[in-house]
Amino acid sequence: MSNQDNEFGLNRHLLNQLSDLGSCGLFLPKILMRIRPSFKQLGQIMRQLYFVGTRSMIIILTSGFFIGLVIALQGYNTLKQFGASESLGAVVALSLFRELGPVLTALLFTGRAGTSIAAEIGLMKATEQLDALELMAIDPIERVVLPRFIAAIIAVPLLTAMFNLLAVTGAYLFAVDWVGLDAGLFWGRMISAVDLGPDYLSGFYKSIVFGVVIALVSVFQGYNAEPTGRGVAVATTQTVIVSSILILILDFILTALLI
Amino acid sequence: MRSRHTVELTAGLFMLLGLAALLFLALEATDVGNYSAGKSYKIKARFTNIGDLKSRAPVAMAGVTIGAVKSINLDPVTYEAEVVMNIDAKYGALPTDTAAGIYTKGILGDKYIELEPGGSPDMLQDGDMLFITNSAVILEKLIGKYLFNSEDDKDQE
Amino acid sequence: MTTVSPDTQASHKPFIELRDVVFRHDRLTVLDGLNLKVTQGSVVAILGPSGVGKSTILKLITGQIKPESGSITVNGLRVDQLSGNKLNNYRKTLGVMLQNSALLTDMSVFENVALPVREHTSLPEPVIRRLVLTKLQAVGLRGAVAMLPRELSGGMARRVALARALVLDPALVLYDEPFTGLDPIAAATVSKLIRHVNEALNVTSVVITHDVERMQGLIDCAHIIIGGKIAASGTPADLVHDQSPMIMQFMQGLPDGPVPFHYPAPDLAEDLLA
Repeated sequence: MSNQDNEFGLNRHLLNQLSDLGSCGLFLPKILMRIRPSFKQLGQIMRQLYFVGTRSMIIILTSGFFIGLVIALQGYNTLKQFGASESLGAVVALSLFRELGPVLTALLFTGRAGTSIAAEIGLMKATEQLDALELMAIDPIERVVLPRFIAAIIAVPLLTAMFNLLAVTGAYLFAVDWVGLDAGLFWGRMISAVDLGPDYLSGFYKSIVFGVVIALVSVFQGYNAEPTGRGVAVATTQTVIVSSILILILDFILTALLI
Repeated sequence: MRSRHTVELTAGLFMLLGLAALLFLALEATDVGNYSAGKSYKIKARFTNIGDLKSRAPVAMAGVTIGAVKSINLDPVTYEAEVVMNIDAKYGALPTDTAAGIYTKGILGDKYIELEPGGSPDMLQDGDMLFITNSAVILEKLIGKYLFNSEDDKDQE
Repeated sequence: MTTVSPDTQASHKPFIELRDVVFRHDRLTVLDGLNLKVTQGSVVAILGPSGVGKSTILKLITGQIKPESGSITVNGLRVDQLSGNKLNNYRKTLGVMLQNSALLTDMSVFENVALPVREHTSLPEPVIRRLVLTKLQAVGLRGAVAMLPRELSGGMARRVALARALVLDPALVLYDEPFTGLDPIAAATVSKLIRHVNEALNVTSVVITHDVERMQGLIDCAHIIIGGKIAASGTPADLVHDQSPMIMQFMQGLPDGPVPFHYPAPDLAEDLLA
């Protein structure tokens, strides 16, 4: 009995996940339909940008700096064995701009801001705030979901750029001040190795896609949360799981397309 | 509670910082800003064979890296390889009779271009062509040559 | 249907009319052919034990859910047929106070009350300020204008929610469990406010509650819902003296009766010995 149940349960679970993904996709046009070029909406977006952007800066900048230090440390020790330590700048910048910057920022942002968006919207649902808005003839998707959605999409690429800058700074400090590489050589090798299009901009495009994914998953999970304490907890967890998996899968697909 | 305007101002500041980081990296950490802002100039050279020279390979003079290979194309008429190099402007102009050769770092290392300055008083301009070139030495050809006419050049590697 | 209040007998047409409303949730029949009339200007209570579909009636009146069959008419509008902009326009004439007060947590009391005005009108700031302060004064909370919802007590939050429900001068105010979780003083305050608002603004009020004791002096007419239908209607005094066992159980708060104390289960002895 339990065997059959398990098998069935697994299938149903998979189906649920898939249909969840489907309704998540259908949620996107519902949000986009409600974009109005108005100062009111702009003000609400800016307000949310403060919560998801400005307040994510500390974790992003600190992580970026230390990631930069670590890549430089690891890279230097490997490159040294081949007598290529002057290529450190190139190695650091390429790995950051193409992969680590966009992916790590997206994962950190999911944990810092995606969860809080999902929990906040879920809690507003559980405490009938969304119902109250609807009863005041105020569209909760336009008033609550849309500003958070847009703000998250704006924040991710900008935070990625800040992450990259801090990481390059960390690597530079390590290379120049700690192991004494020539500053001009470090920066010069980096410049000649990094192409604007295939290296820098491809990372930028990735971060935009990741921003859309995180924004959509967080607002969807929050808006469709079961209106209970447990429901909010599930929505938060699901936001992290679904966003992280989608980010890593899309990273592979985008890398294959952009290379 | 923070007032409404402080919140929006900080959000604006966040956007400015993010855009600044984005632009700074695009201009200062990639090839675009440096090669278009007059910090470097281009020269071209033709080779009958470039071996496995790749774009972005270093261009050196007297062992010092002074630039990088920008692009490699095949001339459809002469069937020669045309190599465009970016030379860092801080190393100054090069004489027009500068020679370019393709060499290998170590025995099996990457290919790079070594420039040897001539004595001409005229200097190369942006986009000029080098006329004296040494093509890459292909190891297999060399070995083949050595096997069949071993009496000829004995001191080759 | 017994209607008592003398001023409501003048108007013949009911302000709210639910006719033969059937509503099912999954396979469970929540409302089974419910008929309900509310006259203009009266305060009407919808009573009943938890889980009998009192909130369902509220959601039907606000148009949040549609009945399976039957009609819902409010002020001449077929609410069950409204959607989109028409539904929104209808909702602007409603004031709803929800069980959790449902104030927006990231806004001050002032902004919460001002929200419907800002969203639906383009009144200048000084007018909005006067409007909001008048309503807050009416509920006695003008002094709390700068506070955040988390700093308010349960009773204060309800009163702010009431001010917000009234800010656009609605014709109909709906209260979902207005006394739940309040101490006797706060509950009495809210009760007095509901009556006061009804008389001062000449609105129609529908109070959804299971609190029998609060009804005295507040309502004109009560409808008790049991089993998806109206089991009894009348003034609070009538209902207290009703002899039917179901009504007696509800009005006197007896644990066992027609509404059983035990959830359906197999025989205890059998269960224990199994």
